[in-house]
Amino acid sequence: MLSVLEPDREHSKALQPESIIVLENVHKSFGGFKALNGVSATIHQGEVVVVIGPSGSGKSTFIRTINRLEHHEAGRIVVDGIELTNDTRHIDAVRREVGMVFQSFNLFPHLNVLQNITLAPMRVRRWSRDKAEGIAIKLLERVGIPEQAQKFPPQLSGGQQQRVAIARALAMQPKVMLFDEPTSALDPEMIKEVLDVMKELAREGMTMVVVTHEMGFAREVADRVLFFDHGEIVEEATPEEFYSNPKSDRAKLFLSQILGH
Amino acid sequence: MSALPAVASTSPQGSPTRETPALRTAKIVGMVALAAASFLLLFQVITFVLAKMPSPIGPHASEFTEGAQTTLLLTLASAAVGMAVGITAGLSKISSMAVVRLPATFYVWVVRGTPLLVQVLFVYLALPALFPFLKLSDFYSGVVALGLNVGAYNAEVFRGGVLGVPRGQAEAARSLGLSGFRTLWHVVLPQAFKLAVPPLVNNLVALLKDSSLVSVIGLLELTTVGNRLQSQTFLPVPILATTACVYLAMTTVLTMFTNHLESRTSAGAKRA
Repeated sequence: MLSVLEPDREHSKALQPESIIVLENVHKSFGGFKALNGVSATIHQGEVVVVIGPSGSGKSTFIRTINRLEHHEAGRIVVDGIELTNDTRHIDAVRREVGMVFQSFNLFPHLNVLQNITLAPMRVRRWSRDKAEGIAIKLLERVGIPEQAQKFPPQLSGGQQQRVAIARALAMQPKVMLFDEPTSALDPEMIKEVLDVMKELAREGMTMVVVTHEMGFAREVADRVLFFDHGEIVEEATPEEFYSNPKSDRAKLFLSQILGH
Repeated sequence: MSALPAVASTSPQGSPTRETPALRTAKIVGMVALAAASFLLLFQVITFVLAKMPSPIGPHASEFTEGAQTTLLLTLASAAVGMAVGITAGLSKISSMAVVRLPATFYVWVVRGTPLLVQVLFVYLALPALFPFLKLSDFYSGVVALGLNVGAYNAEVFRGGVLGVPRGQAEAARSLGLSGFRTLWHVVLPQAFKLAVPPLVNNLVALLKDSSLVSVIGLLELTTVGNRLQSQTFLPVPILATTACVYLAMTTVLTMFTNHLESRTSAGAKRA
């Protein structure tokens, strides 16, 4: 269904993979704490990359540097051919192409669902209200809640709010979607409805970087897993390899802790 | 476009959607009209009741009413100035640019750190001495002094409101590509205003009472009326008691409306 919005997308995986996000030796610290300590990574078009690691390992900072919610102190970050510097035009250009979904949804509580989705397309893409609302309704159908268009975020369940947040990000027709622990704040029975939407998106060829501990999701749709610890990428592997046969001791320890109970 | 039926909706349905913007505007206009009508009625009642009183109140009933009207006018004009000044200074105080931030911080520091009485005298007496073209009437001197005073307190309220909006809201807006200005305008400010309503209302009621300090420059508002009658008649008890009662009646009517406004916005905030 995404093909309605993005006609070329479904073939991109079959073609020679083109890198869309490149990080070279990126450093970032908060006070004395080193959140990212020389991180290099390349993400290709159409790829689904799952980022995993203990809390404080830098995984969240990693994806927040990609749309410059955090600025990096050293190294290079290039997204869709645009290098992220202090130049706000570059930052806004990147943000238009990169959608983000947050752990705490961050829907705008004073706007209804439809207004949440159409705000950026109308103000940034300068679409007419009719066009923006038409696309918003289609996106709400995709995430399974078209009947909630007139509701306000606090009237929705957590799972519904997160699906609205995904629709809001997709409305800008981004080339890349970033997910920062999208299911961590959800009650268990609502995790599936959000993961189902994300899996659908992955199958349609969206480039995705997902910070999550959901192993089922990673095994089913991820092309690669990046394992972070102490601000570094310690291990990089296919999900199959990573979960069944981790190489590093740190990854083994981490997996035993999250799978041990 | 078929919906994905696999994904179930789990939240309780049928909760009412909010009123439309048109209805909301109509309600606010209605409220303002009702407030204006209530004050007009209040002035009628004050004149009527005071006229029935024995001397020294009865013969001067209309003077009290005129004083009360001037007090209300002074309060409303100062509140409007204070609102504009408060928004400007409040937003300037959280600016990342020092050229914008420092003057606003200085203004709030000076105004909140000096007595209102001194500020009123300064605007009326010292400003024209410094800048002859700033010679204002007693009414406009009062409006400027009170407006700048309440503006400094409102600035802190607006600043607090903006800082009270969760960081994730601005992050979400920026991540969608909205500019800093649009993020502020469409996302942060509407939520900040909601948080600011209760303290702004407190400032308004305090302003009504503080306006009595403008009597020092001889503006014929409620306190001046009482003061003059008192010095003519040497009967402080009935005169000052009447003055206080008229203030009390005005703050009571004002509070009735502001309570309603507060309960509306806090109900909105609860749903939000």
